[in-house]
Amino acid sequence: MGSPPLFYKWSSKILPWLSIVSILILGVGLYWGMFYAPTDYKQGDVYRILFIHVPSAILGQSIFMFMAICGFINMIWRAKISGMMLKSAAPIGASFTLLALVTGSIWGKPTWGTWWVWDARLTSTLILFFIYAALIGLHSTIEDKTKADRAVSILSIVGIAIIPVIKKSVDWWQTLHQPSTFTITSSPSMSPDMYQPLLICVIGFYLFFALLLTLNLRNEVLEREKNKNWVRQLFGGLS
Amino acid sequence: MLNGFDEVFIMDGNGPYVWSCLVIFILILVLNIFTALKRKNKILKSLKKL
Repeated sequence: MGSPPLFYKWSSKILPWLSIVSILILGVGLYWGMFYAPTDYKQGDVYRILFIHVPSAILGQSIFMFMAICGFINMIWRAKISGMMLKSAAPIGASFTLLALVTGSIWGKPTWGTWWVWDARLTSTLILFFIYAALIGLHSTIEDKTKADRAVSILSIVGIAIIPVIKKSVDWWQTLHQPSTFTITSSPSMSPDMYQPLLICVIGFYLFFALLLTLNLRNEVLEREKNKNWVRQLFGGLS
Repeated sequence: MLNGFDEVFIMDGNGPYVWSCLVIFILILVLNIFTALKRKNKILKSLKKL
């Protein structure tokens, strides 16, 4: 999988299945959450934003951790594909972090009475979005792709420090934001009728990330390897 | 389960907040897919020229 031609060949087979499964699971999760899940006794129906907000926030942070791992692999083993993965994952991570911020802001209006507060969780998530923007900007400013990959690797490894801050922000500071919905150490505090569709939405979001990453990565592989023999052979019919 | 137009779209009065989030979510997904496909077409065009 570490070799670009092997990835391209393998991804061609998996892409149609990944598209079907991710759309199906995401559709089921959202439909269940929006129409079938019971109304919250405290917040009413506005809590349904949770089915988009929580998975996007989890994904925004997970993608950054994934990028830090790719950055580490790129720095140690200089695997070509890890650098390509870094570049391909950054815009997706930025999109989902932005989605978490926007949906959180929309949710804040009816529940907190304001679109935005400089709360620890919100501010640290905004910083994560700025780090994503910096990663994308940094990569596009360096012409040499190998050097750009290394610079982005370093920034993603250093930037990983923001993740525990986001995670623990609700415990370390007095915040308006509620405690984490998902924790490894304790059982969920919400009803299974709400938790089950949320879990399906989270899985659907992860699958959709895999789909978007595969699409972006295939493009990146083609662009960087366009002068290689395997690409010329593959697209030989085009000329 | 939510039934009827009012219950589904208006909900308890907060429906517009919920639906606007869903619309933004779909927009972001479509934008990501569209960008990837547009870039693919651009790369394929440049490969033709090689």
